[in-house]
Amino acid sequence: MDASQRDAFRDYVAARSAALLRTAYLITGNRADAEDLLQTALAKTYLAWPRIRERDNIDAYVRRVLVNTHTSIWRRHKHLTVTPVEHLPEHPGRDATADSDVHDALWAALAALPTKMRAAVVLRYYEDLPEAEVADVLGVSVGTVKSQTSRALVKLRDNAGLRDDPRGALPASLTNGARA
Amino acid sequence: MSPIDDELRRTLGGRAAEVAPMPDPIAGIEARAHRMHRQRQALGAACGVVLVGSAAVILPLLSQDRPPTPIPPSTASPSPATTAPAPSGAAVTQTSAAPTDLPAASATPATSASSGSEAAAPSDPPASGAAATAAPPEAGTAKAIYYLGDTGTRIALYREWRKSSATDAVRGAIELMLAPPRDPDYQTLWPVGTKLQDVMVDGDVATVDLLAEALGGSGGSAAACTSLQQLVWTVTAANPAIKRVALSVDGRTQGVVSQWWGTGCGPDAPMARHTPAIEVQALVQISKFQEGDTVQSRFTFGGEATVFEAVVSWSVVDAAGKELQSGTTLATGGAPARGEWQAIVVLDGVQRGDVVELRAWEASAEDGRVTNLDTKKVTIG
Repeated sequence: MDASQRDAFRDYVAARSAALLRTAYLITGNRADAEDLLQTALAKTYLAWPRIRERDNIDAYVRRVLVNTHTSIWRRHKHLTVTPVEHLPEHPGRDATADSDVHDALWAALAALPTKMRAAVVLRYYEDLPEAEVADVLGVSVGTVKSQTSRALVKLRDNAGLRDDPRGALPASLTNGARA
Repeated sequence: MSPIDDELRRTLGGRAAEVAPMPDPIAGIEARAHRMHRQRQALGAACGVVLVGSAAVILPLLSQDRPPTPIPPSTASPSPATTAPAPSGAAVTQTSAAPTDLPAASATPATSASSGSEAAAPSDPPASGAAATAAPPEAGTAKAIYYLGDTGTRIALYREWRKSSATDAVRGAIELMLAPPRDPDYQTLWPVGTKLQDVMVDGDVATVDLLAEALGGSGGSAAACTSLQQLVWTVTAANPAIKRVALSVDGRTQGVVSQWWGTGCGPDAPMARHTPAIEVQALVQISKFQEGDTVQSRFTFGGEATVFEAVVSWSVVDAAGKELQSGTTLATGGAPARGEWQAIVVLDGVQRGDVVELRAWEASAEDGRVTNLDTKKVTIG
């Protein structure tokens, strides 16, 4: 990589790392993993930088690396861990608005989704990417994205105890942090 | 839009907003990149080679694991134009794997669509024009025969392209599978004395009947059950019309699979290839060449891989372990898809009769260490 390419990479990181970290956080569910994941993904991007052709859409490339890295790390460890029990509802000192229980429940329910499904949800509902782009990032078909996200919504709704009324009562098992 | 969509957006947005940026991320990123790079980039001289290796990345989609009916040499003609070496979209989107969230759904036997690839590629003379010669001493038609190998973290299926003159392809394949592989890094754990009695094919199910010696294997459940997959993969490779394999011993199926080698590997029912395939397949495999093959000083070697970002690391070392050449190359698809990869090797200073070792591996995404190494010793001819 020559100096101008390195500068371009640094500019990119300066401009985009905060936003990418937010995405990584939503995909992983915690700050430490998010930082580690993003650093790995950007290091890989750095190594591939001279070969990246989509200069006008580097985000797309980085998102792919991010998601792939996350799913492959997860795959390496999946035989060792049974369920992600570490992702229980967190109750940081946030405003106790009327929404917070619902949002905590949804956040907890997100942690229970399979890795790739969760990534699909984040890309679709946080990044607001079109289904085709989500498909591209995940390396799957548009049809798969549609079915994954719709299955994810059903799971989230059920797991978060949301029915027709999004502010409906939460099951006791959720509010006391004992998700099955 | 349903209420859950809105709530989800708000939840995600709210959580994301709490994430403070990393202070000065660039130093950590570059340091990590250099650590990763150490493994990928070898000697100074390798720079040019890396480029050559990457540019040489090829090829046509192929890549599925359907060993087809034997194809006469020379029908495998890569069409390099179909794949750009750029890591961008290509690595993820140009795979021939089935687009599902299950990494290896593509291992489910498809009919003839994906065949042609496997058997053709490695058994053919290098279609890319590289001057190499593979001259297996065996006669007959090449079939993929699976053996067990150690990836460093688990037992996985590796395959060799072997020829059998047996008139029945499935019989011939099973007999080869029960015998030692050519590559000393692989092995077969079937007990010595295991003999094939009969193979009956009914629809897409093959019933393989063995002598009772087959029951005497050991080595733990991973070894036991991977050995059954070894049989399933070998049989279904030998005859792509076969999708499932029933195993019987002296004509009896009851208690065979369910008590296999003292551990049991599922119900006593016909077995299909395990999915996802990456749980049983070796993640990096050299298919061209085989152990003991002869090559010239300039040749192309390659194989298949299911690796992150499609990056395969490779090297060639001499008998003393000295690295002659190394590089990285891109497979036609990145994990979870299985892609094909190739690398061009030009060796200086080797002589006829020298033995060199071809190595291919995945550099760990975490620390660059060698994982999923496959090696082949070949002779310069």
